Amino acid sequence: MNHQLAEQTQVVDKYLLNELSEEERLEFEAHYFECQICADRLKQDVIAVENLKQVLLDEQREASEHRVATASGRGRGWLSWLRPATLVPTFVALALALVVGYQNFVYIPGLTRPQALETVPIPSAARDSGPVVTIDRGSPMFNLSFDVDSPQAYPSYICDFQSESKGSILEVNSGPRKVAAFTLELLLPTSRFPPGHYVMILRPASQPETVLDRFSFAIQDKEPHG
Amino acid sequence: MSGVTQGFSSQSASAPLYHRVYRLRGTLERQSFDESYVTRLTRGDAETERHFSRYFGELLSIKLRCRLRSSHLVDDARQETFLRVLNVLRNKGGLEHPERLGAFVNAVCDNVLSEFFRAGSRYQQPPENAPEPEDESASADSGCITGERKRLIRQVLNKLSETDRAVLRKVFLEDRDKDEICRELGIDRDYLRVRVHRALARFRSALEKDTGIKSLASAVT
Repeated sequence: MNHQLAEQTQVVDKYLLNELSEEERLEFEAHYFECQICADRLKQDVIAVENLKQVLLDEQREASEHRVATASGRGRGWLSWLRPATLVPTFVALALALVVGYQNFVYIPGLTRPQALETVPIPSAARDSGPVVTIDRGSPMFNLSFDVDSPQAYPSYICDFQSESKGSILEVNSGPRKVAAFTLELLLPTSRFPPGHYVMILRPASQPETVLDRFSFAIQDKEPHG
Repeated sequence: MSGVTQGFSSQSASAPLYHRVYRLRGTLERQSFDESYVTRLTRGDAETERHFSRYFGELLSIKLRCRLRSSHLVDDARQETFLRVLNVLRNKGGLEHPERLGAFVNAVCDNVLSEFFRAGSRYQQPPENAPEPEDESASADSGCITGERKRLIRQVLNKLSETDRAVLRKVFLEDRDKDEICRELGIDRDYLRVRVHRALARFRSALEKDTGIKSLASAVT
């Protein structure tokens, strides 16, 4: 290989780009070890390529550092929390914590705590609106006591609670009974009995169309500090 | 002889090639390789030895780096080449064709390489716990290139088209397969080489201005 051929074939570029066959590579090496012009050119290109690599690498590093800085900067402001992706799970978690906390610290302890239930006897066939039962809204249940005196004994009874305004609101089965006259103690949910007038209609479970007795009563809320 | 080899090995063996080359540029006086040069070298003239080790050290590094995978092996092969060349010169009292000193150095280097390969240096699998081979792409040793040089390179880069920048990045930094690059950029291999050639010419020109030394190639052409 001579210098002219080396120039014409751009062999320095091909050498740098690793585009020469092994034979061509050996030929060019033999040439540039003797040709100071090609050696000079090759050395300069090697410097240029290595310097270029360094600068490109720096640019790559700077770009990735910038990306990281931008990403972390975006997350720094407190307003960045006000996004649906953050808010929705946050509120769901808070609501769940609230429910679980209320159950664990208020509702369940209230249910498991021993307490004496006040029993209010409700007489049958009351002519007026019956006794007024004062219930504590803080308590989930309240107790009513009914004096049942059935004309005959039935295996069980249905207690149909009706509100003056809404009609039937609750049906409770008395459970198995062997006698016709007995005291029926019922634990009723406070939430189903807002203040007002009610009547409990007693029916045999086997003959729901038959009315055995009626018990009237009124519900009122206990005063907060009463 | 030992002065030459020691002097050459005193350069940072682990420094990237561009560092070694760049450090030497501007101080390397061009000399013709004739009988007088070879005689001075044979007699152990310090200045000639220094020139010899610098000039051929760069060329040997370029050649060896294409074939040996670690800078350690490159340094070993280069030192061995110098040692053998100087041994021959001093034992025989010179060269029959002193003007072919370059060819002689290249031939000795080829022999050294052959012996390296025969010894299995290149193809020996490194042990599992061996450290990773040195990354000889752009080095993390960024201190080796001055801020001024970086600015210069950036200036040239900024003047290039986006395609040219992409070509340079993919070819030299990412070391991607050329055919793949051509497919991606919708260009053929010749055009890719032309883009690289033009870009390198620009860098060369900028570096010449920076160092204030006109290359022999550009001085001739």
